[in-house]
Amino acid sequence: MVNESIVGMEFPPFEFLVERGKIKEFARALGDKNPVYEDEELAKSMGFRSTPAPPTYTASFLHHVPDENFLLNMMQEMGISVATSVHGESGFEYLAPIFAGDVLTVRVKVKDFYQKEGKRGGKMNFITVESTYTNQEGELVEKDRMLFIERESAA
Amino acid sequence: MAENKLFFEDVSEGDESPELSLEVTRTHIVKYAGAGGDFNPIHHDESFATAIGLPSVFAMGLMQGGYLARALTDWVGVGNIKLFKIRFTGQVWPGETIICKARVARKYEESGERRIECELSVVNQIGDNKISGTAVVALPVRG
Repeated sequence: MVNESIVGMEFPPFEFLVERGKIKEFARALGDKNPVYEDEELAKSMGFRSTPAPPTYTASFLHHVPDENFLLNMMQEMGISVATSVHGESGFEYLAPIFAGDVLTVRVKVKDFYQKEGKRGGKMNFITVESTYTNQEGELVEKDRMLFIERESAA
Repeated sequence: MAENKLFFEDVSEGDESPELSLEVTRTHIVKYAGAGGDFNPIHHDESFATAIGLPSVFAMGLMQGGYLARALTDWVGVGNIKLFKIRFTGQVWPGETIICKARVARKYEESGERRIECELSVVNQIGDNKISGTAVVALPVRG
């Protein structure tokens, strides 16, 4: 199990190009028929700079990680057991809109850690990982948080 | 710079969004895997999932999270959400129907914006909770 020493741990930043086709694919995967995700002219006529990204679109950062096993490696590097941990919460804080054509720099770090006694005995770790997204203008556009819950193994 | 769909004057505390309901299939999960980039076999490989003792594959939390966000934007418009925070309280299995909705918990003004705070939920067809959450939305005024 991990301990509080992981707080502050950072991972190498990477670039995330926001592509119009991927926005459309993401919206379609969620059955979202809002034409704003498919019709750039319509988006512009509504005052958007370009095609806007759907609210949870940054979850697709997984397509842009430097290595396919980034998440697994990240958890291994932190020392979180993949077998006994779950993704418990997700938070998205929107500071400025994200559009097709944006080039985001993604920085991932361990933000918080605490431990509790589990209801059924054994310790539980709560690990918050924060990803920040900064666009090509240097503007911080979004902060996402994932909470991982790690249980002490039954062994 | 946002879709004007719901106006601050027209909202009251306690109002609910229309429900978005979906019977989840393996096809929904695979489409979301492709779009979102999560290729953990636990979500698409039935033989992998059953070999580790699961009844079948199950959906990524952020898939139903995405449907919940869609239920919210369908109601409040694109570009108005300030915060979307969700807690995954149960797995979603193929064959379950998910029902996503938002309810206005608070209506207020902050930082020069007219905002609402919404309670969010995803439940299945028998009312088992799958997601609980909160959103903060800035709304336009009719003026």
